[in-house]
This record gives sequence, C-alpha cells and structure tokens, in this order.
Amino acid sequence: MYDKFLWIFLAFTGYVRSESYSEELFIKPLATGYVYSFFQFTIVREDNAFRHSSLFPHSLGDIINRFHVDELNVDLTSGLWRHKSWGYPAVDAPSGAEISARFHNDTIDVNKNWYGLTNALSGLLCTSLNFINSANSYESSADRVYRYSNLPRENVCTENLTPWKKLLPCDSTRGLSSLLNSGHVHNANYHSLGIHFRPLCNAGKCKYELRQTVSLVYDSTFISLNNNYDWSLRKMFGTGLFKTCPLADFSKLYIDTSSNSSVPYLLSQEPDYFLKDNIAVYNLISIFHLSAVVPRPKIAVSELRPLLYTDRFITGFGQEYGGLVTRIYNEHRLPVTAKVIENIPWFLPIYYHTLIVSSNGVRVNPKALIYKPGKGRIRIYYLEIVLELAPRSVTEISVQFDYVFLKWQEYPPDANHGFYIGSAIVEVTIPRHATSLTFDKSFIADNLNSSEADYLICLKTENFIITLPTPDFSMPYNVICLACTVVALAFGPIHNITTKRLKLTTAKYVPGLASILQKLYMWVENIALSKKINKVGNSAAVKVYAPEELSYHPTLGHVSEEFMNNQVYISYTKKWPLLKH
Amino acid sequence: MDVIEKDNESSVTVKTSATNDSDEIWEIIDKEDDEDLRNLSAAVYAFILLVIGIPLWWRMTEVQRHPLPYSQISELSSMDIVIATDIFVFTKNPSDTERIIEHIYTKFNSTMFSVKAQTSTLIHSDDTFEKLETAITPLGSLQLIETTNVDSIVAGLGRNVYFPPATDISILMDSLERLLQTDALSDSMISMLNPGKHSEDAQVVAERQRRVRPSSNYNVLLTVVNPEPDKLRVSWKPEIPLNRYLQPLLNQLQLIANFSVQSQWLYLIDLIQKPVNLNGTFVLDKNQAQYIITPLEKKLGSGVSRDPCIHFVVYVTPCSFIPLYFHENNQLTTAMMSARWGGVQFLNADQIRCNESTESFIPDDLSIMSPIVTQFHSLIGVPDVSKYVLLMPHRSSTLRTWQLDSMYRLKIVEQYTNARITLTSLARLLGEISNIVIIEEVGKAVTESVEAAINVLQCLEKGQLEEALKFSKIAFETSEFAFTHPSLLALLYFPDDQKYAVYIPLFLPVMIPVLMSLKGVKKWIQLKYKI
Repeated sequence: MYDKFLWIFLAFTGYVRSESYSEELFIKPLATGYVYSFFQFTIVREDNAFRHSSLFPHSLGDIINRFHVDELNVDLTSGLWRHKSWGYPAVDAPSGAEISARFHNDTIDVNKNWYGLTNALSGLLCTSLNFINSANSYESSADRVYRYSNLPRENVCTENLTPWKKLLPCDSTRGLSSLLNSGHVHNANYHSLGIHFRPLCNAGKCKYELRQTVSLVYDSTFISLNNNYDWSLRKMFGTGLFKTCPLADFSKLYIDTSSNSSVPYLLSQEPDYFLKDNIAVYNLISIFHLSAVVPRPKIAVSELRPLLYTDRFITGFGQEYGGLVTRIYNEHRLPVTAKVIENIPWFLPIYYHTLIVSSNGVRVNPKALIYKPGKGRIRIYYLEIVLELAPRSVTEISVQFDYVFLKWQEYPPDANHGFYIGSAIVEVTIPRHATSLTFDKSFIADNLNSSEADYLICLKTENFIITLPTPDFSMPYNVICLACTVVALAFGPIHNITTKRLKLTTAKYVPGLASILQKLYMWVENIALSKKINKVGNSAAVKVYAPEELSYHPTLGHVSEEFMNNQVYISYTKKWPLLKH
Repeated sequence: MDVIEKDNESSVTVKTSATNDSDEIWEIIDKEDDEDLRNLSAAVYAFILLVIGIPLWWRMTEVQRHPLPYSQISELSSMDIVIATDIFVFTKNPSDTERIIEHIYTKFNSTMFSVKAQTSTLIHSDDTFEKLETAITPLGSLQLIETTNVDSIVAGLGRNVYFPPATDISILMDSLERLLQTDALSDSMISMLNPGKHSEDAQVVAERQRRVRPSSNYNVLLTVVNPEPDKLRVSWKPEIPLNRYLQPLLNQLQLIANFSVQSQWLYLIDLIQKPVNLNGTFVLDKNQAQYIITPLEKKLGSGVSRDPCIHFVVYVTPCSFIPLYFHENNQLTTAMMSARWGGVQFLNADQIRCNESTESFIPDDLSIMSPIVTQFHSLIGVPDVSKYVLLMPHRSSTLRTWQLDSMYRLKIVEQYTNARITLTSLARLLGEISNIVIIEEVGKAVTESVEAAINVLQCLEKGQLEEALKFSKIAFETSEFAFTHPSLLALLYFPDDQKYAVYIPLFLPVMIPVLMSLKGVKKWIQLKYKI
C-alpha cells in the first residue's frame, strides 16, 4: 500500500502542473479540556487568469477573475473564540460572516466590483453576503482598492459547509475533508469556515494561493464518555480517515504536544517525526486513526494565557446613556503598540467628544487617531486609534452613543431580537513564540519552522446586541386610518359651518329621509288597511274641523276640542284613577 | 341680489303679520344673511377639491410611464422580413442561364427572400476550378456555376455552387433552397411567434430545437472528468487544443456573439448507471446520458455569468469499464449531444496505462476535439445540408463562407423575431397591468430597440447582412434589457384593494358634503344670473 502511494505521489509531483494541492490538519489540545483542530486545504497556482484550471475551483476562479480580485478573505463563524482561555486561533474571525477583499490596482469602479463580488459569493456559499451595502462596508482612505465588511447576525450552518466542501478538488469523498461531517462540525463549541485567496510575490514572480480553512473547537468533556479529557478523531469527527485524497501532494496531521509537559498524555500512534520538538507530525497515507488519553488535571493551568486579549461591553441603563467600552489587556512585560479599529453602524451614532482612552484608570492620549463620522443609511462610523499599551496594563476605550429611531421599514424581521453590532479589530505585533499558527508561507509545516521575530495578529472582539426602540409595526396603517378619520370628522362640521347656517323657518314640508320613510310606512299601512276595510266592507267618516273649532295643545299644537277634552279626561283618569270611582 | 332681497322681504312681510317680538329678531338676522358668502365658500371647496385636489392626487399617485413608441411596436408585427439576395448564374449556354434565372424567380417568389438572379459576370468559362474557388462574391450572395469538374451538385468553400451540365433544374432549385435555408428561417420565425406551430420538415425542427437560446454572449466550458485520479493519470492541457481548434471558429463568429472559453477538471465523480458489458465492450444507452450529466451538473456551473453556457464534458472512462461507448441506433459512438446543453464524450484510455500506469495517458487532441467541433456547429445552428448537397471537403473547424452567410441570416431572423416578441409582449403587459413602471432608462431602451428593429428590416431589404446583424443584436439586447429591468416591478405588489382601503375612508366623508353642496351652488348661480 505504501509503495503504491509512493509512486502515485512521485507521479503527481513528477508531472509538471501549474497547480499543487495539499491537505493539512493541526490539532492542539487547549486548557480546560478543549481540543482545537484546524484544517487547511491549500492550492497554489502559478497564474491568475482563471480560464483554465485543473485543481483550483472553477466557480471561485471565475468570480475572482470577473471582479478583478487580488486578495480575498471570507470567514463564516459560529461561536466565540475565547482568547483568554484558548490562546490565539490560527485564523481570528468574529462570530457571523466577515469578508474583506482587495481588488487590482487598475480597477475603475471598486464599489461595483465589491457588490458584485459579495453577491456572487453569497450565491456560491449560501450566505447573506448580498446584504452588504455602503452602509455596512468600510472603505479605507489609504487603500483605494480595499473593502471590508462583517455581518454579525449571519447564522453559519450546514448549508454553508456543503458548498464550501464542493470547492475542494476531492470534495468530501476522500482525504481530510471526509472528516468534516456536518452533524459533528456543527456540534462543536466553535466552528469557522474560511476561504483565503492571496498572491504571494517574491522578486516580481507571483504565485496565487487559495487556502480553505476550518477551525473547530470541541469540548472533550462532552465527546469523551469518561471523566477524562480524552479525544480521538472518531469522537470529534464521527469517523476515522479511510482514504487520502489522491490529488494532494501531501496530507499531514500535526499535533501540538506542548501541553504534555504539564499534563502528560498518551497518543495511540507513534508520530512519524517531530517538528521543533513539540509538534508531532503524521504523514497520512492510508487508513488512519488517532486517539489520545488525557487524564483530567487536578488544577487547570492554562499555559496558553495570551499576551494580549480584549473585552468589550456596553454600558448605560435602559435606552439612555449608551456607552461602548473596549478593554485591551496587555500581560506582556514590554509596551506593545496596538491599532484598534471600530466599525460602528450608522444607526448607533457615537459622540466623538465622549471618547475617552485610559490606561489603568489614567487618561492617555492615543498616538494616532482617525475618525470618520458616519452618515445615516450611507456610511458607518469609523474610528481607528493607535495606542501604546503600557506593560501589564488594562487600556480602556470608551465612547458614548445614542439609541435612534429607525424608519419602520429598516427594522429586520423579529426586530425585538435586537441589533447586532460587529466586532472591533485589534491589530498588534507580538513575538512569534506567543502566537499560534502563522501564515507567512503556504503550508503549516513551513510556517511552524519559520523563525522570524515578530508577527502581526488581528484580534476580533465580541459582538453584542443592542435593542433599539422598536415600534408597533401595525402603526403605519393605524396612522393612516386615524388621520383619515380625523380629517373626515373635522371636514364635515367645518364645511357645514362655512357653507350653511341654522335658520328658524315656518314649518314647511321638507322632503327628507324621515318623511320619505314615514310616507312609505303610511303607504304600506294604507295597503294593509284598505285590504282590511275591503274585507270588513265599511268605511269611517272623516270629520273636518274649522279653525275656530281647534284648541291649542302644549306639545301637539292645534288639535280638535274633542281631542283636548279626551286628553284631559285621560290624564285625569291616569293620575287619579280612584277619583272616578 | 335685489331679487333675492325682495323675495326675502316679501316672505318677511308675510311672517310679520303674525306680529311677534321674536319674529322681528329673525327678520334682522335674515337681513344679515350672507348667502352669497356661503355659496361662494361652497363653490371654493368644490373648486379646491375637484379642480385642484383630484387632478393633483391623480398626478401624484400615477404610475410613472415614460412614453413608448406603441404605434411603431404594433407596426413591427405587420412588417414582413424581406432578405435581398443576389444569385449569379453561370452556364456555357446563355439560354440555359435564362431558364435557370426564370426558375429561380418562380421558386423564391413566395419566400422571405427577394432574389435578384442575374448572369454572372465575375468569371469566365475558361477559368480553372482553383480560380473559380477564389472568385470574390458579395456578402450574402450565391453563385451557380456549371462545370464539368463535378459529377453532382457541390457546394464550395466560398459562395460557389457547382453543378454538372445536364442537371435537372428542379433538383438544382431544391439544393439552392436548402443552401439558403428558407425552411429553417421561416420555421424559426413561426415557432417563436406561434408556439406549437413548426415546419413540416422534421430535420429543420430538430435542428432548431438543438440550437442554444439566442444571446449575445456565450460561455463555452470544457470539463474533463477523471473519476479515478489514483488509478489513471491523464496528461492533457485542454487550453492548447481549444485554442487551436475552436478559437478560429469563434473568431469567425465574433459578429454573431462573444464566446468565452474556459476549462476545468473534476475528479472522483462516478458513473451512477453501470454500463452493460457486451463481449468486453462496455455500452451505455444514449438515453442514459443523463446519468452522467446529472451528477456533474451540480459541480459544473460557475453561477456568476448570466449568459448561456455550452458544456462539453470529456469523461475519462474508469479503468474497470474500458472501452466504454454510447449505443445509438445499433452504432457505438464515444460522443453524444444533449440539445441546448452541450456534449458528452468518453475518453477511453489504453488498458495498459490503467494497469501498469507508470506513465500518464496522453490523449489525442484531434480525436477529442473533432466531436466537440461538430457538436458546437449543431448547437450554434450551422445548417446541415450534407443530405442534399455534396460539400467540398474542408480541413478546418471554420465555416464555409456560404455557411457563415446563412448563420448571419438565421441569427438576424432569430434576434429580430425575439426582439419583436419581447417588445409586443411588453406593450401588451403595459396595457394589461397598470402598475408597471417605465422609467426613462427603460423607455429609451425600448425606443432604441424599436428603431434598431426597423433598421434590421431596412438593411435586409438592401441585402446588407452585416449591418442588419449589428442592428438585430442591438434590438435584441436592448429589448431584453428593457423587459428584464427590475424597475418594472417596483410597484407591482401594491394591489388596488389596499389602495381603496386607504382612500375610501378619506374621500367618501369629504366628498359627500362637497358634492351635495354643489346643488345649492347651482341654484344660487341660476338665481343670481337669471339663467
């Protein structure tokens, strides 16, 4: 089996291809029983005209080609990476969707390409990237062709993983990608899918690299059925590795064994070799399974406590005095220069005069500060602060904002859920030994070997949700109805007052609705009566009174005297019925 | 004024005869009566609401409609396509020539063509065959040449058609009809204008149904599928043969459409249907091609482009099924075509490469590309007249000049008819659905499209094929742009019942008093001016 693989391997490398492919998996047990696994599938290509491709995904190549993309980073993440206890991830991505792209320098209409790109990617990856518009994307003034945006509300699920896997040359049938079963992937505490395309230029000669990455963090107390921090490939991914991808130049698995010094643990297979003493490397050739027996330590000691981590929260009570606080903890014994970038959406207007930067409670002046005020529905509030973080200090950046009313159509479905505010970005250069994986080179193995002094990392802070004042959404219709009613009610009397007047006149027959009804009633009665009369066969004599025969009745007016007498009599009899007797 | 006061006084005098104190007060009030003012204000209400308010409301709630050339659109459907075509006839005997010309006129009288047949002056009787081939004839024309060099009717590489002396004129006319594609042209028009109707000729109908839908841009995607990359290595770069064999043809067609050629490799996609083993040869029925296409489809598309894509799939046969063929009408072929979609072919590697596989399999470019080029011809609509006329052998994927001419004619008719249908449907829709918005941009596109469509007809009548093609492309593109513009639907979801639910509670209580007061105003005016 090994021999057979070897010649396939040789045959593939021997054949001159303009593209190469490799699969790598990096596993690192974290403190408190978490296991971090990072998959990287790398395609390196020599030209950037994507008309003809053998390994590079044609659909993505077409998008890159069509929209003149020079560099592209897409991350789809679910869950929060806890820097304080987990250290640094290989790729730091905030919860939700994050995309940044740099276009070719000669691109004329960068915005058009940017929206085209996000729309195409939303179709390709089944994400909501098509909701990216000028109101939530950031364009740098220094770099004309760069765009960045994040969608913190994006839910990442299996519909994103499936198209992501389709971009791999071996799909999910062979190789490390066969470990990515959606049921298990989405069971993880944290998972992040990434697509990273960049040119790697060296002395004028460029190579183009596409890295597809997956970061997964499992809690081994959940996956191991005993009380230990045991983990294995099968427990994490539901399956072992059966076949490697025949198209890959190499498939490797790395295990960071540095935590072995404090809590010794046992691996089921002897590694092929060690890199830098503490990275166990396995060359994956055929069926492969790995499990680790990790005893539960008496005290959890985190050796991964990072030099720098962040914290972010909102202040204020109710919907008043809203404030946004970002804290940066520097545990290093040397001062560190950090760049903090806040992208605040337009519906959260911040007050620049309330911006306070303090270090250990003492107000400090930032080294540099760029502030671009936002514009309602058009532009985000952009705040970039360059700071020198004192050794072993906590630096706090706080700014106040307002809760605003939106137009009723601008509220998302389920508006009472609240509005997500994306993460801030903290860029710092820290010593390389303090970082996790680095990405100067295409492959993990090369990067683990690299020995340059410092490395720039990007920390993404937490997202948060705020509740803006939410209206009753039947309001517009109510307003229309109410306004119409008021107008109608007001109009009638005003019209009457101005065009008519009340006037006393002598009684005069006025044909109105009441009289018509009365006539109608009489007519019906007459018909009924006349029928009766016809049946009975007699008629009543009608007596006509002369005016002098009439007398005046206080309510009925002129009536016959006979009627008057009767009335008096009836009233008497009614009032004093006993009198008569 | 006087009349009313007198009238009022008279009524007052009648009342005063009752001699009452309160009546005197009423008398004073009546004298102060401001009937003029009241009626005037009622009239002003009516004026503001009816003369200013309603037209203003009407104007503001009106759906925006940029003026469209409706009359020209309806004129289009009454205009016929007339294609002016020159046919030059050359025979040794002038009386034969006359007879042929006469027959041509009677034959093409009732078709789309307005044929102008004449005696050829371009060639001489003593020209060699080679020289005849190089004769330059105008675009869109045909030249019938009687020559002893051929045994039957032969269509040349240029615009020449050769026939031996003593050819039956009716056979010659039939061949001429085939070469000019009168049937295909009218069929494509009829089928588009009246769905369900088509030509009686089955081949013409089949050819039309095979053609990809009209567009001004196409993607051509060659996909090589290697289901077993671990067992068989294929060393082939599709871009080289694509450039060599397909590109000259695409350059030739650049006036018709832009083609963007791409290629990709896919791996590890297995056959869903297991082929039948017939004495060591594996066979898949032609009808089972969907079992190859369907699993591929989900990985083929790029999804970014809106243009139709012509797919060619080269499926490297898995080692266990070599050699694999399609079975069609008792014949075994490696390639098959799917109408309007593209083609699939099997690439059978040598069994030796499969088993030993120390070196990669290098396929033959020409054997892969020749079915692709043939399928491409069918898909874009190159007429197949090989049944009726002998064709002079051509050592290239490019088209013969007369074939290109007929492609031009076909595309003009197709694009023009498409534009015409789109424009008339748009005009009809606008009449039926009042909520469709026509913004200025769309309105201009429609006008441009109509003008281009009229230009197409004019150019065709003059026989200017290239200009007509240009205009038909403009007409097609602008009409599609106008019809599919998203602004059309901006107000479509606002139904009338909702509109009235808002308007009636407002207008009904306001309008009733105003309209009722009009009666009083009318009386007042009549009285005042003694009408």
